[in-house]
Amino acid sequence: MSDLFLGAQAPRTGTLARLDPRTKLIGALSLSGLSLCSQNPAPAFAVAGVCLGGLFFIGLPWRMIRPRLTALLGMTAVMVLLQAWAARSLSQALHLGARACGCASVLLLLGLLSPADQVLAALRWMAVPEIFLEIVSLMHRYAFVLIGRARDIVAAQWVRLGYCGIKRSLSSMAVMEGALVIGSVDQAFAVFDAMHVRGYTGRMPASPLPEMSPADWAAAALAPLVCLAAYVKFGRIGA
Amino acid sequence: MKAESELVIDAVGLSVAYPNGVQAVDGVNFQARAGEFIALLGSNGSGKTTLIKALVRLLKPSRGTIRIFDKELDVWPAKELYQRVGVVFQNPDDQLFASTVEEDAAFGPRNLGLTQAQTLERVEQALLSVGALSLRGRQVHELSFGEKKRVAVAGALAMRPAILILDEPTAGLDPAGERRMLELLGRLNGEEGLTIVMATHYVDLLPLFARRLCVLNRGRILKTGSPADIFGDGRLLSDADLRLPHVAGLMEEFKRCDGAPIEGLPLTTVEARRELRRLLPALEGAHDER
Repeated sequence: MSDLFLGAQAPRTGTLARLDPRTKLIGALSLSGLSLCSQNPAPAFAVAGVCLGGLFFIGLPWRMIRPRLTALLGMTAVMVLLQAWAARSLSQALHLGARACGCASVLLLLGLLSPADQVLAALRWMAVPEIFLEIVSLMHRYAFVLIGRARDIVAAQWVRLGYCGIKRSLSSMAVMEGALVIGSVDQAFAVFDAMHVRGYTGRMPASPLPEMSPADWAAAALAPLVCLAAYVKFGRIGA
Repeated sequence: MKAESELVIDAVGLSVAYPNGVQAVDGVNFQARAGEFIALLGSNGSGKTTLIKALVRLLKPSRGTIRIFDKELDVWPAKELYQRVGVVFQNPDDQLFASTVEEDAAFGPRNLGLTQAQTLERVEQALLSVGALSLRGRQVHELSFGEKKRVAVAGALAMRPAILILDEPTAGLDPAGERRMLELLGRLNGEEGLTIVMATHYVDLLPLFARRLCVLNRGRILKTGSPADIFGDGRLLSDADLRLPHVAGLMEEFKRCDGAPIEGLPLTTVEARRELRRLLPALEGAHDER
């Protein structure tokens, strides 16, 4: 399950993976901007198509793409249905679904192309507040610990018939969630102690990023321009 | 006569009580000298972890004093204290909070304000000394438990401490991992001169590495001495819910049940083999008579 989100999985030798994380982030933000600002769903769907195509392009096996694609399409379908039901407008629902699909695909591709620490370093370069980045960095690290712990608890409940019947399953899930919360609080204290003894004084140090190459600069400049051109050409239709 | 080395940890009359009233450490006197390898030996709940946390100022003692090198523990600025005293916790997941191995090992040096080149040099050296240099680019969640333990030690070593305090460094490791970890600590102690203080309840390999053992039980130190002193005291082991190392247990059985004339108590396989080789002619003789 931890494969479903977070963590670079793409071969690091690929052209896209080798781009500077700042360039990738600028590209991702430009594509997300195009998805969100377009007045019709076509550009957002195109962005989703480009990103999902990118997953194949970077050489990811189908077994890794499939769960991500399922999650993405499932999420979009739920949003479309909810919006269609609430606003009673299928076109509005499709538009919202397209935006969600486009942005989620961009994040997916970015996450698969870049290790989390690089994305965070690029965000730091963009002057995103330190406290936010620190929390995201710890969340990223401990998501895996939490998943592992949840898996262990579920297995322990399972072998003692904790998931026989709906009532018992719901009760087991509630117990598991409670145990995870308590465990997380304990872990937070332990992590703070460990950070403290290694000199933490309220600011998480970060690795500096290397100089950007001229090619990276060029790509970083080109991405917003291309997205802007796409918006002017296709995104304003339907405004 | 060999001059005694500098006293690097000096805890006197140390007591630690938790808010629920549990007296986890009760009037402990504990000293460590530079270059020593000391094991705090005790069963679960004996107060080892609490004592360690008090020694590194993560818990405030209710009574007693602690001196680290020449200063009271309280007067050390955190930055200076933790450059001298490295700490490795029992659960490596508590200690590895960065996403990659290299980032995690660099956490301490960066907090010290070192340049990128100095940081990388320390990271490389720390990972090299724990045999984890090949893991530097790996994501932390991809590591095995044993690898995480070694990387956690590297994170502490990157601070270049003079004292390394470890809480159950071998807990959860397979036999090979346990031996590898103790060999690593033995090397850090022998070759790099680090003072090692480790809490443990694993007794089998300890006589090979630790020069001094402190036996804890219910928050008190029952006895401090060499492995021979400690494991030669059967009553102490029983009081502290400990046991002899397997090899020593076997030799003790020979002595007690078969009346084998064993001198002292061999604690390691090398010592046991030496003793058995000495005894073999006598045993063969006894066999012939029978």
